[in-house]
Amino acid sequence: MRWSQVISWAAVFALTATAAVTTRANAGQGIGAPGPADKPTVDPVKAAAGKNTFVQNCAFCHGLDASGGERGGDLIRSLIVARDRKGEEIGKIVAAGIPAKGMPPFTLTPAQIEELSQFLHQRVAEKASRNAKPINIVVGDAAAGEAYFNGEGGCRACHSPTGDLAHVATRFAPQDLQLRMLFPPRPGAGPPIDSGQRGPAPTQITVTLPGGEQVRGVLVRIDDFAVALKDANGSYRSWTRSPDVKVDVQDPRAAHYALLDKYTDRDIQNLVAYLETLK
Amino acid sequence: MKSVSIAVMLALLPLRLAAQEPLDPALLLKPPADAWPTYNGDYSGRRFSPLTAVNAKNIDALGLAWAFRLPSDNRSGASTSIKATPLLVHGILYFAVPDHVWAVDARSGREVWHYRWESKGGIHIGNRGVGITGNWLFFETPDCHLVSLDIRTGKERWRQEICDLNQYYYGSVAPVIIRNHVIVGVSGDDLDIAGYLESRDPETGALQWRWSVPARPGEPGAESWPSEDAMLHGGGMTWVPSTYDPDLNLMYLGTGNPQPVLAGKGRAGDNLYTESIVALNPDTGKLVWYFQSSPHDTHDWDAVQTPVLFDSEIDGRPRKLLAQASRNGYFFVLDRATGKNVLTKPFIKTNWARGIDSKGQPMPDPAKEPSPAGTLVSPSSDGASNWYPPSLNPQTGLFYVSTNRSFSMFYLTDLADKPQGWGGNDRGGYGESYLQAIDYRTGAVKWSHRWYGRGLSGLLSTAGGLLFSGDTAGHFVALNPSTGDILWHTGLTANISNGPITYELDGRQYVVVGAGDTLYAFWMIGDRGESGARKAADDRRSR
Repeated sequence: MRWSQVISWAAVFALTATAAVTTRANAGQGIGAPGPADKPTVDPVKAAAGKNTFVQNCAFCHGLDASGGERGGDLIRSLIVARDRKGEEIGKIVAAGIPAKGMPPFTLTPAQIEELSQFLHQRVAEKASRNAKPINIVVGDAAAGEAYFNGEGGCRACHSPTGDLAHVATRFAPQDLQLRMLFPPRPGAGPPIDSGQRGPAPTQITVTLPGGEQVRGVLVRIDDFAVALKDANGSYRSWTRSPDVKVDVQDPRAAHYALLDKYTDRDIQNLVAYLETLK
Repeated sequence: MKSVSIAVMLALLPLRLAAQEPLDPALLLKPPADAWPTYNGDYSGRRFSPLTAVNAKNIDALGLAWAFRLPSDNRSGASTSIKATPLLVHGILYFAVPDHVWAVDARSGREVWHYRWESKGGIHIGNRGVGITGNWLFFETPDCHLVSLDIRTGKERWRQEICDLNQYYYGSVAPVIIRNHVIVGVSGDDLDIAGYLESRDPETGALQWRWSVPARPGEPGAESWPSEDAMLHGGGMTWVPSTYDPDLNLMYLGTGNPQPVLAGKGRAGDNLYTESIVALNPDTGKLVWYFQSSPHDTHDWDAVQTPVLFDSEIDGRPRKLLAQASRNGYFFVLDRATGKNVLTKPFIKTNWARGIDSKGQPMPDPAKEPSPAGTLVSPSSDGASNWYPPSLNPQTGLFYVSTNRSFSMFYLTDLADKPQGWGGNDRGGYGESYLQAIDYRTGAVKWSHRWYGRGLSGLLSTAGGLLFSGDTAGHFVALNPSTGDILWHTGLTANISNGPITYELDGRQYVVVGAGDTLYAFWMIGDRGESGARKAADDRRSR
């Protein structure tokens, strides 16, 4: 529901690249994050200790993951946990129990209560997070992926498993590899061109002026009203868009974008499995 | 001399204050040229203005009248992008960003007053504006309050808690006033909570009624959920203002996505009334009819987009209709008296539906649900459209919507039988942005303008033969609404971030738009503009 406006008006063509690595992270604590600004920060050491306490005393009814069981309620969606900060609300229930629902009282130390509270707040934060990592995306058939790479996908036109893609699986985690294949980063997202590392290939552009002169270069910016490039000498040049000024944009990633309408999900799985063999 | 001018100023002062008059609620039914009294300008949601002083023939002379930039000391920690549509009441513009409200002179762009709210938290992603009736202004805060201010002074009148911040609800929507009802909604997508719409008393803020978006146990619609627990945590936020038909006395609301957001395993069924267009009686909060834009959604495609009300002939018969260009990529036209589907057409290519059922609802393809290894879906979770206000132009017969054609990978990460929270996420991708002009009698896209980058914009069309939009590169653009040809543009410091409005004061037409932290006002520059505006005003008087 939250909608992050993935826009950079200053660098229009950097957009897709930045989006590819965008994480829609919760902002953390304080103003701007989901929930109250004074919600507790989780200390992982205390939360780990709290987990032990939970497993020994609570998990039998509330489930190992605190999501509720046949006898005990869901503590992730619990209003008591939501209103708790450092164990003050949870501690009351633990100490008194809820006899009407069959929950007995427990004798825990204040430190144990705080740790238990930290564990539950950690579980809530995990569930509310939008940043969980995929469980396993290498589930395809590598041989079928290789066939698609060499055939239908047309990947061989630009890429080689012994050339630019040699050892690619050692450079990127599987999800990064998958996302870079589907949505290759555009300049602006990768390492700077002068850094010596391999960055995204620039988008080329040819501008044909009214007299017929052609200027080629690397696209800097384009919209309906102006176009700018860096020419072969590294000079920045720009023009007002008009019917007399023709532009031809050549994005080396265009074939990737065209595949988005053609891939099946199985094709994607197979391609990732194949790329994962390029260790 | 000096004392004389001070005396003159003092003499004028009461007049100046008198200009800040209460808003006559009758104006909400038929706003005059010098008012924009509710979020969409009027209750219909069309965002079509009858003003013609600025028009396709003279727009070359449209230039900056003033700019109001939010003070920098109010920027820390909060989104200060102006997403609110300002309201115009008696020459004063009223708008909000999270935790702040401003009153600004619509003629000069000068601050009249500023109200600051001390926040206790919540998501500060945006505030879509204020509601006004009489001397009273209403707005929501990210930390779950509805606050009423006095429009004359900006002083707080009362505050009421409308949601539970501890459960990660927050407030963002612009209240809509229908007679003695202040209609307010809630936001929050993180912890499996139920969305609702409320009506509050304008005098006290007391609750008049509350309508739950997920069906209540035992009531119609409950059969579309597997359990009471799933309903009570079923999502459906209410974060875009409703429209209203005074003749039918029905208000129309688009509802948000079900929860858990991407993991549907624990909520088998259609999940009514999430992602639906619903007609409610504003006096009782009772549901009169519903149409579900996205049954059992698993892609975060809130169907909150403005249900736009219009009358048109369909098959030779005059009809009272409603149109929505929904976040899932489908354009719907419904009979707004009955909710019966008139047409369903995609307004951009998508890949998630198997077809349209007999009720006119798209049928989701189970193969395109989020999966552990990722599923390539178009559109991405940001959607084919979003909250940005569309525009419907009765002169061209076209419905305009700012559109993304996008792709992303949807991952399912919570494989439990009862997933919680988001249960997954989407990452990616690729996106192309378009301004789509849809024939509302057929659903066909009559013209389409592709922008070079990616982004969405609020829209406004006018009887002057103009369609206003932002592009994706910081420009404010006017297009020919019949053809999509660009007629005018100007470069601003950020992309358009709200819905543009227009009004006429002292015989001159203004066009006002928010772009990031700045509100810009445009008018006709020089003699040509002023004489043109006066001529148009004279013409109107003589008619």
